[in-house]
Amino acid sequence: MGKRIMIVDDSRALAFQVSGLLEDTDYEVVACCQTGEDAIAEYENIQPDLVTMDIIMPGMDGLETAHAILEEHPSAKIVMLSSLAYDETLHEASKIGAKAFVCKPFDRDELINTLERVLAEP
Amino acid sequence: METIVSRAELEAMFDQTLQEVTCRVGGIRLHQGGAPLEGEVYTVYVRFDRGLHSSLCLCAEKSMFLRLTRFMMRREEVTHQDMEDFAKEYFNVVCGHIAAKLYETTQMAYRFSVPGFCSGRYQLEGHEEQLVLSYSGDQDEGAQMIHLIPIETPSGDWAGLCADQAGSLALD
Repeated sequence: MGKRIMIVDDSRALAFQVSGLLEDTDYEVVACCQTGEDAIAEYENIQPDLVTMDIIMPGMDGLETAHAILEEHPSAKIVMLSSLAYDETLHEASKIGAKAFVCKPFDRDELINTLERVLAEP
Repeated sequence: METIVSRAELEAMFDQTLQEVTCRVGGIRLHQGGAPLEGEVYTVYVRFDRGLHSSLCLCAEKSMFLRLTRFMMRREEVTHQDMEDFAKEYFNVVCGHIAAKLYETTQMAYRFSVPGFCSGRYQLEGHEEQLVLSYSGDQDEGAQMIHLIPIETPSGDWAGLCADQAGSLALD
């Protein structure tokens, strides 16, 4: 059975790109949330295998959203997808419990290798 | 603590990042220089609200945004909404990489707003153009990267950013 992915990004473009890269793979995009608030509400309903999370979003940013989801669901697997990749954000993402950080722009192999690695973790 | 980034350093960061990201994300090779923008133009912009209190814009001819969108979507037929969405995502990547380069130099964290998109040239009240870099794409698309900084407040202070006589910027 395919792994269920939830995309959290205000950008419709990013959701389109990630969905395209995951076509013909074992990954299924089951939800795209454009705000952190939506993501927190939807996580409970959808219970995805993995969440990809942007940082720059209107309202709650991705780090705040990831933190909120992980507080409620400590086993959630969250991969940050952002161009804001410097020491401080990488450290903050790791500190709150995100499993990986993929810097935009990324290619198909980079994305899929990261998803595989994170989903293989216990 | 104030960290000084010279105007030349800032210009080099903007230029290098824009050229690299535009080539990788949009498949367009830009080179500096070029004629004034012509025809229908659009602007994608962000406001830095942490580390650097200013705005960064890319004003470009429609042909550049259309080409960028077709490349990113890997299809010829694109809508105006596609162009807006993909221009914003592309500029988000440009600005993220600029923030990372600024962090390397200053060890300060930078954040910026969700990108906006508008028809024509972006005007921001109370701001003036501090840097304008002009480009031509490899199919003659015109573009300008513009850094807008706050103009002096009535009290004589600069709103979070100041320029010395040599044009350097003091980042708070």
